[in-house]
Amino acid sequence: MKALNVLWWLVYICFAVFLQIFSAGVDFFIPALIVALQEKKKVQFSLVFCLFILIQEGVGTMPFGNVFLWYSLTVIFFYAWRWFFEVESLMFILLLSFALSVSHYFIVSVLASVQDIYIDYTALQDECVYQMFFTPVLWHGISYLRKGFRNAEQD
Amino acid sequence: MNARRLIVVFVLLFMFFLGIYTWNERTSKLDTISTNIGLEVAGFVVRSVVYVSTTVSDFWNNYISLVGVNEENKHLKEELFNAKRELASAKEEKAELDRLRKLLSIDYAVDWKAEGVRILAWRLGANDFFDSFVLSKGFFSGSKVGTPIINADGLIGRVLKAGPYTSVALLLTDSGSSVSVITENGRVPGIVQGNGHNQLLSMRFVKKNEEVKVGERILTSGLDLSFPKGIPVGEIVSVESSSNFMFEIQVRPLVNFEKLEEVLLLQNPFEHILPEGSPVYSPKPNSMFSPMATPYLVQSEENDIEKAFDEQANANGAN
Repeated sequence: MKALNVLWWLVYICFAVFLQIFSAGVDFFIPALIVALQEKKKVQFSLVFCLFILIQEGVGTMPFGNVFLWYSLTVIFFYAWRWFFEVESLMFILLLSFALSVSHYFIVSVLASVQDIYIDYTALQDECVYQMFFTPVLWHGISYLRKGFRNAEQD
Repeated sequence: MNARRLIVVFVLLFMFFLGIYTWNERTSKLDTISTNIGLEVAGFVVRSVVYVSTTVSDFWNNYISLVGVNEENKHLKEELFNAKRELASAKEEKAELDRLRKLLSIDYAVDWKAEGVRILAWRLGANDFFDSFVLSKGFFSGSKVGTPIINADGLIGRVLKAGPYTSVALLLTDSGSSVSVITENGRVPGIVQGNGHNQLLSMRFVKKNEEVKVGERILTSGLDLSFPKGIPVGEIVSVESSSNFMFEIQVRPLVNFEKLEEVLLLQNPFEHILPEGSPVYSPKPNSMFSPMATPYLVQSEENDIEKAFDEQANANGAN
């Protein structure tokens, strides 16, 4: 059954990369990372976390660090928000995606100026807004699929 | 997890980040690892998608949708006839040019080998902030950092980062892209820089006493050895006087970046001679950022240059 779980994540990676071809600037790995956090499986989360960072840093054009910091903040926000909301509630995911989009803008702006890289801030703003709307929708879809997968695994 | 523990984790994480960030700035090790693994994984997926979509569309075009093929064939035959005639004329002119070069003793024996490559995807992911695309070749198949990219219309850009079988290219239009150029008729030198996606290019460092005309084409100068000489870059669309003693020149790229599918990679025959500081990404000199800061990827080139000097010194010592 572990092999099936690995296969599930590999298929998701293919799906996320495929979606990223058509929507520049939007991260399709973040919602899956939140789902992996919610499942509370440390080994699974660690592997998924590292692989997602490697892929996003690999295809990205900025020097290493940007995605690492962003995904790490996702973990911290996740644990901080958990004090106030139920982790599977809609409010939780809406506030988390808002915080992640704002932090993405902030991280990219700071690192771009540190690295002396010119970026289009208007486009970045738009992409952060798209990210804010895409994250809850995708998270909902992935959670639904994962629940179905886990039920099938138990049967 | 309580609040105190979370704050400690946050501080430790930030310190860890600063550590790996500065270490990576010096060594580029993490960039290399993520490029070799992450870019390849994404490249494999995108390549599979492109393969499937191409196979399906080829099947459709070759076997099902054959309407208008006869008409197109007739049209293509006419085009072939014209092209052959033009080729014959061009061969004559080239022979004449070779003879004249020999007479003038100018050494033009520079052959940049061209290799075709397919564009797999445009900006991929949330960490790609440049005007860029993903190519289906990596450093195992001739796509190295700095390799020039062209098509039949002119210059497109350079390879920014390369994995084993996949690479990422920086377009001419990106704000961090700059190329040494000359005008076609007046032979006026300058530097062409990008201004972002779908924007005109700027030609800088042209003095007001130079003769520059609207409509004139600009070509790569080849002075920095990063690009071959004479590749068309763009056409001048406006020349305006600025407050200082330089012209403000705007250039329209000759390449239609929206319709690119396949491009050519040019293999540098000067690879054994390292160019003196030609970063793929370079910040604008008049940008809000410091012009003195070390641009992205310069570090690795500096290391290469130092290594080359060391090897040369060792070889001299051995002799």
